[in-house]
Amino acid sequence: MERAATEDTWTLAGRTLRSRLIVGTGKYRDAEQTKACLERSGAEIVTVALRRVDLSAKDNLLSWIDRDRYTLLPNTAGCYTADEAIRTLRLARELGIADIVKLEVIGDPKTLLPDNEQTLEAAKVLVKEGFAVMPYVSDDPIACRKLQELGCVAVMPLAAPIGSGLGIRNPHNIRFIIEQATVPVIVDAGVGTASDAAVAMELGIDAVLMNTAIAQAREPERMADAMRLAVIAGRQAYRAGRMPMRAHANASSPTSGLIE
Amino acid sequence: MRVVDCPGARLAQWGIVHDLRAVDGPWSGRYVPRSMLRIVINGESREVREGTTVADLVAQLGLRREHVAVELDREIVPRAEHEARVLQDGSTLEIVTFVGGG
Repeated sequence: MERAATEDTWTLAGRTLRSRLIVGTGKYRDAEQTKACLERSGAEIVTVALRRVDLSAKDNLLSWIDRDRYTLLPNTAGCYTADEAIRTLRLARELGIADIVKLEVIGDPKTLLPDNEQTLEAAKVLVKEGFAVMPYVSDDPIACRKLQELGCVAVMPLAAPIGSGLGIRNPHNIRFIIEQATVPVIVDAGVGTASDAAVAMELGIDAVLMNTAIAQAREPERMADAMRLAVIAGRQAYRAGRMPMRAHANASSPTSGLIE
Repeated sequence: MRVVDCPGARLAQWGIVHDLRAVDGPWSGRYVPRSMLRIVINGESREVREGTTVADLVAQLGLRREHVAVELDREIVPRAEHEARVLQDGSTLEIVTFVGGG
C-alpha cells in the first residue's frame, strides 16, 4: 500500500485502520471475483448480509473469506423496522463476528432511503446491548448528531440512494455533519466512480463505504484499484488543503523578465 | 435388538420399525417406536425424528455449525446449547448465515 495511506491512520471503535475504503461483498459474479476486488481495494473492513442458508449453495462466504485479514461488518439490509434490524444483528453476533455492525433501516423500497426514526430506535437498543453501531443515515446533520449522542461509534450519511451511483448530492450537509462530528464520518452509498470517492474524501470525511460502484463496473477488479487510489488521493488533497478558487486567471509563470 | 414386552419392541422385532425410544426413563424396559415431528425450517415444512436436537438438524442439513446461527421459535439458540435443545412438533426454525452484501 502507498506510504501516504499507511502513515495516515484513523480509529474506529478502538481499531486502528490504514485503509479509508470499506467495501461491500454483494453483486459480484462469484467468490473469486469478490476476493480479487477486496484484495485490490485494500479494504480492511468488508460488509456482509445475513440471510437464510441456501441448502443448495456449494460454498459459504465464511469458508472462503480471510477473516484474519478482513473485519466483517454485518449489515441489516432489507430491514424495514427497528425490530427486524435488532433481530438480524443479534443473529449476526451469534455467528461469532466482531461487535461492529452496520445498522440500516430502510423506509421505502423504491428509494431505499433510510428511516431515521426507526434507525434511532434500533440504535438505542443495540448500543445498550453492547454493539458498536455504525448507522446508515440520511445526509441529515440533526439525525447524525442524535446518533452520535446516543453512543454510535460512527455515522454513515449517504451520498445518494443505494446503488444509484449519483455521487455526493449534498456536500453542504456532509460538511455540517463533519463539523459537529465526535465520531468518524463515513459516506455510505451513492458513490459511482473514482471522482465521487475523491470528492467525498476531500470534504474531510474519515472513510467511504461502497459496493455497487465496484461490483457493477465493466471491470470490477480495475475499479477496485481506482477506488483505492481515489480515496487516497482525496484524503491527501484534503490534508494538503486546496488552493482558493478565483474568478479570473492567475499566471503560473513569472510576469517579469520577459524578453523584449 | 433386545425384545421386551411392549408393542414398540414387537414392531421392531418384526422389522416394521427400527428406531425406538425408552419411556418412563432409560431403564424402564419399556419402549415405543419413535415418531416423526413436523417442523418448519426457513419457511419450509420438513419431517424429523422425535428427539432430534438443533445440532443433529444442522448436521443432517450438511451445514457447518460455525457457519450458521439458529433461531428456534424466534429465540436464538446459542451454539453451546445446540446439543441440548430438542426439537418439538411444530418447532419453527430460522437458520441463517452470511452472504455477500453491501
